[in-house]
Amino acid sequence: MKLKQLVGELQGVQSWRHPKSELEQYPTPPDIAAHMLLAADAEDGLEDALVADLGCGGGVLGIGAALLGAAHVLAVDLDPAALEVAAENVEEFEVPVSLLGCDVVQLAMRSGPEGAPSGVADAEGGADAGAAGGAFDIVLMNPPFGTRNESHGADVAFLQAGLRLCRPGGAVYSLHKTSTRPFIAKKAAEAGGEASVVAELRFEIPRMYKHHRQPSKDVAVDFWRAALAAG
Amino acid sequence: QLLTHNMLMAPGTKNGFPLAIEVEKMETVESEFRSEFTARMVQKPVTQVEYGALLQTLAGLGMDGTLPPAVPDSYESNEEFLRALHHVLMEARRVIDGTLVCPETGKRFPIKDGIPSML
Repeated sequence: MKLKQLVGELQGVQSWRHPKSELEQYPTPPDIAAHMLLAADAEDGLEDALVADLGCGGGVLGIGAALLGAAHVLAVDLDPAALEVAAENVEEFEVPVSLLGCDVVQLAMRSGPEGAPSGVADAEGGADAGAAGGAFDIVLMNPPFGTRNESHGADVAFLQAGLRLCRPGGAVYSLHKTSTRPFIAKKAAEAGGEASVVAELRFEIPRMYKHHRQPSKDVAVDFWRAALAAG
Repeated sequence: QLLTHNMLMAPGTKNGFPLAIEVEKMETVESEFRSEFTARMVQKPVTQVEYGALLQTLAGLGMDGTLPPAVPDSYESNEEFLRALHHVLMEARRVIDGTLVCPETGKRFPIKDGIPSML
């Protein structure tokens, strides 16, 4: 699918209506979502893949992945209001996306039985994160930037969760503030991910929340790919 | 779908897997059969689906016998098996309303309008 066509499709994905400041919810703009998806498709292949969309919001990344041929997408968010909108979108697009209300970090922290598919590292053993490997070929996310007090550290927590849910050889695609680049690189490496910045983007954040003083603001954002070593 | 269910475990537990399913309302869905994808779900060493847990879940739903007791040898080319597995994972049971119950703590997680909530 061409970029233009995909952007057009993704413009039909509704965002949720009442964003919550404490969850630091910012919808992924259709053009950025499309770029992420096409990059993931070119590098790791979305066709027939098992994909997770973490902190899915309205589900734009997950739905886009399904449009590009993913066999199945699990879209996760802890905000019921966001899932409601995502459910409407999934129905509208008739795509193989299932929704789950769950804290992304908790989902990845589950210490599965020996050889469980979700096979995630032991809850108290952060050290072996990534060693067990999860089920997903590709994990997509536009996590909270983690810069508000309420969401502090959420950006890294999402990235670590993504790497845990990835199968060995799989990859996480994520967005993080450019100002956090060295920190993200370090945290990804600690979690067993070989991370690189695919592109630097400008993320236009409309004035949505009370703490926003300017009408809208461009934020420099890195588009990351973090691959989990095979085997 | 059971594919998703098979990946879920009760938060904060060691043995909260697989979650028991209590069904109030369900439907079947249609899903395109992709043999390569389905085969990959049980491909070793990176098994996406915990086969033993899946059989246990099927038994709980009164669907035992739908799948063989073990993944057959040369399952990649066994279309009958792959179709049965595809049907079970992707089509057979989509729970619309129901409850997931943690086998360790008995904690209950509702499923509403097809969306399980593990919060």
